[in-house]
Amino acid sequence: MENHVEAQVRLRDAENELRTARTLFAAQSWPGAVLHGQLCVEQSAKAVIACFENPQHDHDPSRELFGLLSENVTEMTPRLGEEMMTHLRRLGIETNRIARWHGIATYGDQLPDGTRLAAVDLISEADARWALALAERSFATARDFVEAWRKAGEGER
Amino acid sequence: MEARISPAKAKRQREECTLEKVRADILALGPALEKAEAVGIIGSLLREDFNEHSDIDLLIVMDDETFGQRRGVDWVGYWYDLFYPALAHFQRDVNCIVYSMGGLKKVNNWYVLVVASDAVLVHDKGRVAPLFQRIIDAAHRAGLVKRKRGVHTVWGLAPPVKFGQRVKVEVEDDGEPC
Repeated sequence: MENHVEAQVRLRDAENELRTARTLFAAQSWPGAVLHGQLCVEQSAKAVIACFENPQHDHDPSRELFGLLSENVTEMTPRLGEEMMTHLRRLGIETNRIARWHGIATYGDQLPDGTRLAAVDLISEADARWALALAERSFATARDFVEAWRKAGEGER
Repeated sequence: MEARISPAKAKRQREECTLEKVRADILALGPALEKAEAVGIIGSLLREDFNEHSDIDLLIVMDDETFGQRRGVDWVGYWYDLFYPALAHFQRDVNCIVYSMGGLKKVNNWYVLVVASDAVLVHDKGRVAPLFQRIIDAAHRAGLVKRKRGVHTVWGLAPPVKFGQRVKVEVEDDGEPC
């Protein structure tokens, strides 16, 4: 097991989820676009985490990510710059924000009066557009971080 | 007229699921476990966050020759078909994670470290527990540390982390067949 290889594997899965989300959005399949957008965000966060430690089996790894950012802010900020650190914190926030949509996009939800709604009746184009936007920037952040980590590691060899 | 029990009440009446009870149910399968090199319990049943919504997570390790007879996904189905009925009285889903001995030896992902350090083996032909120890030793040699994030075990880089730090966890080949 090599940590930078693990990160690359996660990143490949994140990229695949992003491609799938784009395809489903273009096909106007809103629940599918939201589901795969969420998975892209999740895998993007886990790609960053995988540089440091094992990601948990959880659709919301934001707490882990924030923990790592907090523990390593002194080392990382001079290397990555404030803008990248801001992007990483945003990744954590958006990972948390989109996590609950995994269940909604898969199983639907219910109204306060108990009426059951299918995902396809609940999720709109606006929801899918939002999820896709989160996925695009989450993947970009993770890609940039993992690439920076890789380069720093090669520089040490 | 038959009295109807609400789903909530049925849930409350569900049999308590404990590590020891699951262990007993697995061992009661006897010869059916023969295809496994080892069977263990992992996940939340071993932790304090096990709750009414939690699944039962099982680890199955197989020797490479037997594992190679089917696709990995087919082995997951095989073991699920064996374990789910045996554990059905707990009214929980059962997750089967299947590894080959060779896959464990390769330490092919971070999670292998968590499995090696945390799994409770309930059936072991004798090779898996020592392999788990070798994996843990390899992780320590690589400079990794085990700690807790909340209730979860985490294996990771020892602080202070150097940005870009690379680690490689390798189990030495003992020449034994997998």
